[in-house]
Amino acid sequence: MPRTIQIFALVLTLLVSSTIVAAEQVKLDVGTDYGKRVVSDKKQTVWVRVGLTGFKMESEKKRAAVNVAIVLDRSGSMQGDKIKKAKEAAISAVDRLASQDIVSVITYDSNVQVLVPATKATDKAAIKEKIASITIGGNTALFAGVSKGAAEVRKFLDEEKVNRIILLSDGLANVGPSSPGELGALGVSLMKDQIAVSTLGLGLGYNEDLMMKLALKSGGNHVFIENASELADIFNKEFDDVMSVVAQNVRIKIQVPEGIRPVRVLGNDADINGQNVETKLAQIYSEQDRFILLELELPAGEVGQKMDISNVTVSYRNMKLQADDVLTGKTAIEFCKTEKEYQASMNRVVLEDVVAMVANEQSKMATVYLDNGDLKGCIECLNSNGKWLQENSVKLKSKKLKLYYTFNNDQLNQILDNKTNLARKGMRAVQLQNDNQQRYQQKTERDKSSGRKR
Amino acid sequence: MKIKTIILLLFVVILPTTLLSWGGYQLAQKQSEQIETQVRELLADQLTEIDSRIKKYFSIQEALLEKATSRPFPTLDSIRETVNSTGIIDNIFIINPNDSLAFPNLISPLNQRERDFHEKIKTIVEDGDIRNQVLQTLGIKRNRVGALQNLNAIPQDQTDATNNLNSNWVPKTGAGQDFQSGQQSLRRSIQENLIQQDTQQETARDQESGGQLPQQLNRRFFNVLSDREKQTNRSDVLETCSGWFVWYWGRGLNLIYWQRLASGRIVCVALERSRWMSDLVNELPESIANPTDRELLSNKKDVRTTRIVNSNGATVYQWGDNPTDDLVLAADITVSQPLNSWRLQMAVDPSIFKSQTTVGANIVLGIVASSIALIAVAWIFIREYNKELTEAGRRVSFVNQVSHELRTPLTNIRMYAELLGLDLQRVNGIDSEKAQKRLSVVESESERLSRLIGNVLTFARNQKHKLKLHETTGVVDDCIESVLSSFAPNLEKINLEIKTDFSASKEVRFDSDVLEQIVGNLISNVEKYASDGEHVCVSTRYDNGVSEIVVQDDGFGVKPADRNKIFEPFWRVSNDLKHASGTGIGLSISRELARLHGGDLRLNPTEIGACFVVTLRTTEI
Repeated sequence: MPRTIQIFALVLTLLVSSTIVAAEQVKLDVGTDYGKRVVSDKKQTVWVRVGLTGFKMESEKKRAAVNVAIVLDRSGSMQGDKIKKAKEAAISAVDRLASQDIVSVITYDSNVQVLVPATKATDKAAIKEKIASITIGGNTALFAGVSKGAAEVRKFLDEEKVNRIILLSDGLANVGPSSPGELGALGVSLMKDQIAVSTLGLGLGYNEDLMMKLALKSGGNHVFIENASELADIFNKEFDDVMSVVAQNVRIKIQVPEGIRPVRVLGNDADINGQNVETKLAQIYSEQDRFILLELELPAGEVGQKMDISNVTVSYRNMKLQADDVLTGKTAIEFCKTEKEYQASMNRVVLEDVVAMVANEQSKMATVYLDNGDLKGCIECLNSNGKWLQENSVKLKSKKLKLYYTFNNDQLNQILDNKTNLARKGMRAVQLQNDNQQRYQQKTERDKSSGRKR
Repeated sequence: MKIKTIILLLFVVILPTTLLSWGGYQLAQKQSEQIETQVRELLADQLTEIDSRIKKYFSIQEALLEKATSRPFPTLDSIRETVNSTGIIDNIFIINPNDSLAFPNLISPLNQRERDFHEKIKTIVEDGDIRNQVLQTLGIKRNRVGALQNLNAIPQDQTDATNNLNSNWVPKTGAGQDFQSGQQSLRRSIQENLIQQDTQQETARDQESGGQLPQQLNRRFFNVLSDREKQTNRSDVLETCSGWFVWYWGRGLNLIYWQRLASGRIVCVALERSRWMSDLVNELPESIANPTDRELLSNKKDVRTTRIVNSNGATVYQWGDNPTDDLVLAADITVSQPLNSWRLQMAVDPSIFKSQTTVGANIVLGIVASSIALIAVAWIFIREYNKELTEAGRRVSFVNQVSHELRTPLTNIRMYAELLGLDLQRVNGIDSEKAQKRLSVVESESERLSRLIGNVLTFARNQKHKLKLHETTGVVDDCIESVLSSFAPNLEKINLEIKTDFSASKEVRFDSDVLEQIVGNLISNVEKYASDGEHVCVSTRYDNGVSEIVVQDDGFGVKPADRNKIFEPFWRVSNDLKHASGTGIGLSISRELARLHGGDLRLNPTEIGACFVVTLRTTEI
């Protein structure tokens, strides 16, 4: 009972002061692909987009404190440039931390070493010195490395901080649990504790499924780093993300009226509990557009009939105000007579995301083909996916879809070039970045070549 | 002689050294075994200490889960909320008293995750594995407590307050009756015979499910008893108990915590496998960060790595030094329940077993020292012995030289005595007879002296291995005849009659000097030692290239104990002055000579006196 009152009071306060607070509140936007539907006897589907936009973090000084564990692979394969660049990247990342932040550094090979136990980032010189002392070891005890990282983060775990493990690996986990399923399950468990794991896969030797699952399930980022020279940049971007979290523990509840069947959710793992759809996002970054797509199956209707199709409630922790916040929204459709009306009701933003997400599912299919050794099927799948993205990017004038088209094309070309490992890592990374709507993304082949020219 | 001594000395040195070494080795071996056992025990203790952390972790989890499962779950959302907010919980399932699943139940609106989970756990619920374990736990507990007053506490009415969550939480009556009959049979079994309870429970289970339980017997499970039950006497409240259920599924061992509530419902929590493994990793030590620090801190030799391995033998986590191939498994213990199919293992550098107190080195040092002492003693002994040997050699060579010097004048004396004898024969008269007699004494004494010198010289030559035969053609009998004739006057004086039986009259090749010396020695001995007798028999024989000469007297003979000793040089029957004349080398020399001549000199056993037999190889012409 007291909790309900509290929430009620909070909602009331927020409503009253909405004009002031609005700038520092996550924006909820619920929409459908087409607001109007042509009457039909057949069941038809509608996509509901629940979009959340993070407010702008005005200055890094006012950001929430971070509690980060840097977990570095020091297995034999990291020898040379890789470990050197990794150390440099970690050192420059430590430089960015402020005194209220918590940092720990863990290294792993066959064993795990807690190089810097969780500590306030005040004596940066000592921390950097420790990082500089990292040497090369043996195997890859990735599971234990992440576990110890989690233990260090837990020492200072609280909802006012952004809790994150940054895992760098270049090899296959070969000591301890090492299946994507097991690491994914660990990710799920860590997400419940509000600890996200960002996984940085370096080179072509790591297990992308494992790294991707861990990141996806825990709400962290994943990126495939082909060249060690990109490490500093990626670390920087990762820290940009960590330091710009504006909302955490975001729970989205969509209540669907009876008669309408929730079919599936794209863009995040979600539970469909009867008429209720529930999902949880680890965080929203500053100015990030984060959305999920819900596919619904509509019953037959009459012309002019308006139908509420979803009631959305979002609760989250506002990291700026350090307070809990609740947002609500809803969406409805109307049945119309003509195709023209239907086309006119198109919501470009929603449709763009729908196309992207459907293409993403198609890309996953292509990966399955690839894994089954069906190269032809994979190529066909990527081809049709490319077409779909290309057509829609023109139709919707979407730069985003154009980018996905480029990725798709890159992967297709890599497969045609027989670089399947490279292609698969790229596919996996883009798929996750789509699912997770990661802010910093994989580089396209063109980016890379232009980067080299510079 | 010399080689024999060296062998003896070597033996004297080597034997004790070997014995000492062997003993020392055994001791060192035993000691090192002892040390190894001690080290292993110590390491196992360390693992037990590690295991206690795991134990502690699970008991904390147990306390937390007991609290979580005691909570009433009035709605599906309340279960979901618990699952979604607790990292360690993968999912929850609740078994009704009638064995049906209260949650997840396919009739209620489940999400995909819950449907998958239902699929996963369906069989263990249907097979009654968990309920059987609950019954077993209760049984053992009651058995232990010995208090059976609560056995009537199984409710006839199972619609308790929590059962109205959902229409399908209502029990299926048929199954409920089966369950009750099982319960009753269990109850009976406990009452009848507490010891034979296990078998009775089998019966109970058979009754419950119509005997179709073979596979659940194969499934591994165990009990962890929790004493956290509250006993009540109210008839509608059941005993509560809780425990761990181990379930092999997917990638290996999965843990389910169950608690039977007073309502009879069993609330089970499937633990998130990755999470408890991760937590275990965090309970266990990490490795020391900088290896160089470590080297400074501790003995470099002390390399060890510890690992926890799962039921498949795969390492889940390891710490300490990086494992290498040189390390040997030093301690291996079972992790305590519920993870008792897992093991904690420690591998160490084998040098850790080597004694730090250098017992082995001490033993080796002792052996070396005593061997050196023994060798020194032996060396001193050999040196002294050699000194004496050279001294004796010098004495022998002195005697040899002296004998040589004596020989020439003696020859002259004999020659002139013979000449004098011839001169005297020409002179007649009593005076001449008297002189003849005296001269014969001179002759016989000088002959004796010459034999003596001959013996000494032969002995000396034998010492230098310079004895050689000078064979000539002659008759053995003639040679002996001439020796006997030279002894005749002396033997006559002591009333010894010589009997001869000669039958070696063939011409053969032999060394007459050698034969003369041998026979001379033998007769000389008769003269010395058998003077009490009446006669001496000398017989000869020749047979197939071998001449045999037998000298038999009837004196007091040789004591059986001395039979071999008489042939040893410088050995004499008696040091009594009465028999003292002689050097004690006569028989020894004679035997050497006979052997040189391809024969031998033996003392034949006889009843009276002594009987010496000489054989010589004499080739017929």
